[in-house]
This record gives sequence, C-alpha cells and structure tokens, in this order.
Amino acid sequence: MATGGTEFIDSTTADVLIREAWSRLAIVAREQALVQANLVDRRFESEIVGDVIHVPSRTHLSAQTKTKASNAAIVYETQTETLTNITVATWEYVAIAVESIVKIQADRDMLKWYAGEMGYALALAVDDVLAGLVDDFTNTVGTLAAENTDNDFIRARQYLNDANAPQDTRYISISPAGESGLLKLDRYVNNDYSAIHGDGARETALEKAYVTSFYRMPVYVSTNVEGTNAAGHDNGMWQKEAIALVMQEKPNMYPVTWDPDYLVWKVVMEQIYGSREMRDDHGVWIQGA
Amino acid sequence: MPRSTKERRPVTKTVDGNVAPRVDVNVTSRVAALESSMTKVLEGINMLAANFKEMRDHQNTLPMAQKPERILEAANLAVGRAAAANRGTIQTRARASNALNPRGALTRTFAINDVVRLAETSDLYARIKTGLAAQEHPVIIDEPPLGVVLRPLQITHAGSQKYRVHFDGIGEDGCLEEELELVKSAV
Repeated sequence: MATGGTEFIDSTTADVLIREAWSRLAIVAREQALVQANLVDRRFESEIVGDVIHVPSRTHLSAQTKTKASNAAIVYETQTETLTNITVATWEYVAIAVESIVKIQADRDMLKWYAGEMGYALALAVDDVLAGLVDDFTNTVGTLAAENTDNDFIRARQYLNDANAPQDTRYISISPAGESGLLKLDRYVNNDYSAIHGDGARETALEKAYVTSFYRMPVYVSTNVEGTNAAGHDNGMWQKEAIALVMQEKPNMYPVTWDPDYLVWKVVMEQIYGSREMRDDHGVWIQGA
Repeated sequence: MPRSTKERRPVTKTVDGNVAPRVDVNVTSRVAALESSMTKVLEGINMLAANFKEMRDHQNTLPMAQKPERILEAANLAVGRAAAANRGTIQTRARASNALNPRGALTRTFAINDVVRLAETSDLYARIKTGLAAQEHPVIIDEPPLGVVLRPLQITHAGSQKYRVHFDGIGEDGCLEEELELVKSAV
C-alpha cells in the first residue's frame, strides 16, 4: 500500500483490471501478384513419368535440285536431332505444427489461420524460379534501373518476330517501376494509339495483375519480377513456349495429423516441379526500372 | 671356379676300336648347374630383401584415415558431374548414378538461409550503390549489403548457379554464385 499526496489509482496500478481486446482482423502480409506460372508452357505436365522429360527437336529439311539433263541418283538427307531435357527435381514443402494447448486456448483456429499462407509460400517459390529465367534470355534491350523507351519494346517485339515466334500467347511481364515508365509513354496511354495498346484501363490492375495490352501483348505487372528498384528489374517479353513448367505434384495438402509424441497437430503441404528455358529466341530480357 | 676333389676321373672310351676324344661333359654341366642355382639363390635373397624394404617403407607411409563419404565422393565425383550434365539419352536410357547424389544434382555453393554478402567487385553491387544514391531520398552505402539466400534458381547458360537473395531494405534479386560471398552458413 502506498499513500501520499499524488498516490492516485492510475493506469499502472490498475493495469490488471483494464481490459484488452484482440482484433478478429489482422495485418496480413500483402501477397505479390504471382503471374509467371500462367504465362509459360505447361503442355509437358501430362507426359511426366519419373524425373525427367526428354523433348526432341525437329529441324527443317532442305529441298534439293534434280538436274534435268543428268541421270544422277538423288541424295538423301538426315538430321541429327538433339534433346532438351526438363528435369523435375525441385521438391518443396511448407509445414506447421500447432501444439494442442494452443489449438485449444487460442482465440482462433491457427491451422486455418495459416492455411492460405502455406499455399502462397509454395506458389511464390514457383514464381521466383520462373521470374529468374528471364535474365538468361540471350536477346536483351534497355538498361537496368532505367525506364524503358518505346524503342525497347519495339525492338523486343522484333526479336520475337525474327525468331518466327507465334503471334499469340506473347506476354510482357514488368515490375511496378517498369509500369511507371510505360505510363509515361504516349503510345501506351493515349487513346489515339488504341490500335497499339487496345482498350482498357492502364492504371488499374485487373485479374491476375493483367493491366492492358501493348503492341497486342497483354502486360502483367508483378512485384515478384526479379530485381529491385535500386538495381533495376528483369522485365521480359516472351512467347509462351520460351519457358516450360512441369508441376508433377501440384501443391498438395495432406490431412491434419495428430502427433501424440509431441502433442501437436501437424499440417504439411508439398509440391514437385521442374522448369526449363526451351526456346531461347522466343524471349527477350527487357532490362529496365 | 675350383674343381671338386671328389670329381670322378674320366673313363677312356673307344668307338670302333679307336679312342674316343675325352670330354668332361658331367663336370661342365654340374658346374653350370651350380652357377645357375647360386644365381637363383642370390636373386631370391635380393627379392626377399626388397620385399622386406618395401614392407618397412609401407608401414612408414600408411595413408591418413578418411571418412567413407570422402572416399565415395572422390570416386563418384566424375560420375556425378557426368550425370548432372547428361541425364541419359533416349537411345540408351541409361544414366550414371552417384551413391551420394543419386539425382545427379550439382553441389550448390550456398544453402537456403545462408547469410551472404555481395562481392565488392560485382556488377549488382555497383548498380545497387548507384541506384540507392540516386533515389529521391538518397541512401549512401560504403560496403556491400548482406543478404539471406531464399532459394536456388536455375543454372545459367554460362554455367553459374543462380540464387534468389533477400537484401534487407533493398529487396530481392537474383544473384550469381560468383557475385556472393558466404558470411555465415545456415547449416
């Protein structure tokens, strides 16, 4: 007991009697728009058996000329084809274990609380790997940490055209800083150029970070494009067949299991996949902001 | 070589009533056999001496004890590399396997959660330094930033292993193994 002229019953002495509230809401870490997995070639997934897929090449044959005046025998042509191998050896998982006392006493279901995060963690890992392939394209335009110009996109498009890449399923993937540079391009924002950029808002992210098209290619904006604002980002333009992704085991969550040795509830989610650059000339590394 | 005192005297033989020429065949052959046997004995002694010397030297140069993993690793290193480079052909469907590394994966320099530092000479460090200084609110750094390895990425066309690395306050970027220096191993 304390007495005195200023010994009031204040918030310190009555601390144990003051209620506290735990919000039902939470500051959930913002998720990045993960776009890459939908922009690459997934056709090989149905073929995977074991841990590698051998994809043979097929090269063109050459027409020969038969001389009318000569009765020489014709010649036959053979091509030595090569293999591009997709190794499926990346095995990743996310696991959590909640002690039973926490499960009973916590004011919310911890397993359910983190279930979404587990799926996001695995999806992010795949997106990281695919985003990392862009800076390995041989053809490059632009300068790292500098906003891209219209010429960069035109030249990149020409690279794809020079390689006879199919016109459909071409994509542009850029960072938010890269998009800021795009928004300064008259051809990107001015509706006089709607034949180039198509209709649609150019500042509002739509489903799956799709913003709008540019030079008839959909533009996806994601913070998970490899790089930083300080050092620049590895933006890219590619045709779908440039990169292959094989998800042998899509993110798979196993039933919650009870471990009596530790008195915990365990949840594990795993995935198995592989990726590979398949056609180097079907992609362009757009070095930019 | 002196003759033996017990040597038999040669017997005079006749052929068709004539005295045959005296030839000491027995003596010559016995002497030759004796020489041969003595030579063999000497060779045997020399061989035994050499063996003994070898055994003695061998004891002085016993190999250092090695972990079984090291021995296996040395034996399988070349095989493992070959397996990583060529995971089999469609013709043979045969693959080399490595007991320590059955999937033939290349041994990576860095592991997840390793603390690394950007190499001072790396292009990425130069760009980060310039980029931070050019920001609206400039940040000046005097030494390469530390980062944490998030995950290995692909092996580039140039043959370098690439990693996704988180640099606190800067962001995540892809770094080649030669751009990184290990500060603290996570293992």
